[in-house]
Amino acid sequence: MEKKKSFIGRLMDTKGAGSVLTAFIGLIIIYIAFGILNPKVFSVKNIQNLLRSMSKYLLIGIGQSFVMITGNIDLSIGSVVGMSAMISATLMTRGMNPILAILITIVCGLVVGVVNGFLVGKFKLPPFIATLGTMFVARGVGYIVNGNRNTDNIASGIGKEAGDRFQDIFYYGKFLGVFNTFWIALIIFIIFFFLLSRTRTGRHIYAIGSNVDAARLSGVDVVMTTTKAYLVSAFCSVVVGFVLAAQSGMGNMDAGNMYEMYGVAAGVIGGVSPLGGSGILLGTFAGAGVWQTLENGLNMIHAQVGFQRIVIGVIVVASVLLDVVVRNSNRSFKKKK
Amino acid sequence: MYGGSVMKTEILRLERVTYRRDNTTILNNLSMSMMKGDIMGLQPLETYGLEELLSVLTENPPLYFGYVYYMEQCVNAWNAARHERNRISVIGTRSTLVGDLDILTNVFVLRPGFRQERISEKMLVRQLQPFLDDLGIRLDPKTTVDRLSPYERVLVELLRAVVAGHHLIIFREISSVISEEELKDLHRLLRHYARRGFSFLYISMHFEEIMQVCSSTAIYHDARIDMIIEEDFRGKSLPRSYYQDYYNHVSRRLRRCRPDKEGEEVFSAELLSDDLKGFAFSVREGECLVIQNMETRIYNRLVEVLTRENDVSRVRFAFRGKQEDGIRRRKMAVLREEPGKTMIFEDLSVLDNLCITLDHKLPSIWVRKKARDSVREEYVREFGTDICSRHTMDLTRIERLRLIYMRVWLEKPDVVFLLQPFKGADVEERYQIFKLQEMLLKKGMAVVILAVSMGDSLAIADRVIRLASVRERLDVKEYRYEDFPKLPGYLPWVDVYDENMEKEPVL
Repeated sequence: MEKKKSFIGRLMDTKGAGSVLTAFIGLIIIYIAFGILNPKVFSVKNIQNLLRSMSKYLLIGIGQSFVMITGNIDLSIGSVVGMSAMISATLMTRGMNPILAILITIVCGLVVGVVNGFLVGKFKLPPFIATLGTMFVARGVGYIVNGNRNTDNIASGIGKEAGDRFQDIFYYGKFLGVFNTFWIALIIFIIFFFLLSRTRTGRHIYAIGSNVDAARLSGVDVVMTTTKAYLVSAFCSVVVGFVLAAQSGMGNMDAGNMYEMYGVAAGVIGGVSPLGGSGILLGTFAGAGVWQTLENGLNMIHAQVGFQRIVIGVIVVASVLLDVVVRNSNRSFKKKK
Repeated sequence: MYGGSVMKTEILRLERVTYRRDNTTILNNLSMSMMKGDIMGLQPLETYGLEELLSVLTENPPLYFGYVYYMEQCVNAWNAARHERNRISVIGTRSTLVGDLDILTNVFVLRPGFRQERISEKMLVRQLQPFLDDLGIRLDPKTTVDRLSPYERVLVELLRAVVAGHHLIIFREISSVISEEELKDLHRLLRHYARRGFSFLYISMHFEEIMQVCSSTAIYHDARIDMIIEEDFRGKSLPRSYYQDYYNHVSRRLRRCRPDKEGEEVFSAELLSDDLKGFAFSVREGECLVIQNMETRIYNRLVEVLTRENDVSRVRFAFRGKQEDGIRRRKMAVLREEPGKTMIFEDLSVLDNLCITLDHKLPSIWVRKKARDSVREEYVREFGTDICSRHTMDLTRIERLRLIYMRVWLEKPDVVFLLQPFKGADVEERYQIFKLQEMLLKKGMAVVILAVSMGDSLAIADRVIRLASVRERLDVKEYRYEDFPKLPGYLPWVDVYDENMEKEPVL
């Protein structure tokens, strides 16, 4: 038996740990660089806002990472965010108890997850096509639910006090000086981090992404596991929908537009392989941080929006390129052996 | 002409070829030559360097030393590298045809040197017909390649090579994708084309198979051609010095083997799908049953039916007399062909790979480190080395095999299906696979080997079922242990059974 490794050693041995470390180092460098250009970046208020804004990308990133690790993709995320914002806000503007509205919205979102899981896992539809379909369907439902218009202020249905409480819980409230949005995202992150790294379902998710045929022949329920990954994605999207509804105090039909791509970016920057089988949620955390710090920093130095998009696009491509290069070098190293 | 004999043209010569990559010598001072019309066998005793040898033959990579001559021209030299490809075809287990396109397009249009912009299909069909007639096969040139049987695919690749005028055609491990009958037909075609001046290099892991068709056999060992065995060598099998340990091990097993296993019947299957209807088999604890399929179509169908989850309309499984779904409940394990490549989860750690099928027995295995550590210790106890601290990608071929079989050993299903377990394995790997299979049997698992080519499966078998299709009906022949000498003599290990039966009664 070999000598036991330290915690750091074991952590670094985890597949994808290198990418996570790179993302965290990148995050620190970017943050300090922007801080030097504009010292307001280091202010407490900015850090609070940064964490709150980052939470949306973190949640979206968690969902997309689960799906990407199975070797699939979920294009319906943004639409589920919009649908969730619209359904919950519509129900509340019609006077429904917020808790009930939240539960009903969660169920609606999870239905999309189940449909995605079955289309991809059971009926073997290419995930790009299957989730493209549900993307349109979910967006359509978001439009229809309030008669093709944005909702009124949620307080108009459930009263100011309940409306404020909803908004505080999901967006404006603070706990220990940090906005609740971050705490919600952190709790969800911890739960799904545990699920992915310490449970049978988590290992099965990795196994499917790594070698789906071998996983099936090893007794892994591919349909159920794929569905679970899409359910996680749908759940996270629904929560982001609540955050957006709380932020604006109403349901916006276009809420969550393009969020699926933000999820891909957060995951990929943090080392989740779009080819499946590898990546850890800690990386997604770093990826969401990099994404939001860039957006925040570029705003603080008054960079053009177009320039912001270019920088982020280049980083995403570079991250994927890094993944492909690392995989290829591993393969050639193995061949050499 | 000298003394009435015809001077043969040399088609290929490798002269003292040394090939290095990343400062590692892969081929060392390798020399060999082939004449026009030769069917030469090549048996690799290890697979190390085989890919590179094929690359030297076909792609002309830069050499560290030596010369390569093809069609009497120097095509590659250590001091003057050329990177043009030689006009040599390699036909192997994986198709090099484009599956979605038809035969005609694959044979003519995708050929390098096809210059016509406007394609006249009629003319191409007319051009193809004489080649098809020559092969003696009937194929619609407009059939999509994906719809061809594996043997037809091999024939189309052969056709493409002939049409393209490739004078040397390499066959690599072809018996693992086509059946015995088809192999015989292919051998007939090779002889036919050899008479017409084409040369063949026939690579196989089984000497017995090579000897059926080749005029001489080169033994590839230790990164060079170790010896050439000519046609007049009368031995049926490879000189034993090359595989003494393996031979001794198998012989010992045969002496110990019981002709009839008396354990409890642990698994039975009844096939219900149309083309396999009526075929049923069962296995006992610790018994190894080999199901050899004389047609690839039957093999593919059988694999499809047996490895599907819970397909009650096509197959009925019973485990210890109780009907249930095998794979999901982990009562049945399946190892695909070349399991070291196909059954590994490259992205998971070695320990995760070992434990992945244990979570039905130990649901908390992913939380309890102690449980995982005991699995790790179990592996070390069995094989003497700890591979768990290494990355899965860094494992050697033997370690990968051990990892996969150990996973099954830990899972302990009632029955293990092994699909062509010896496919692509060199002598050392075959020996290892044999020992790993023994390990499963000793633990009381039943092993069912599904094969097209018998390979080394006979060495471990307690019973053999040969399936063939005769006039649209499934013909099932069962051979018990004492009947093995009645199996065709060209099959590997039959002679060893012969010897054993003659020398001493089986215990």
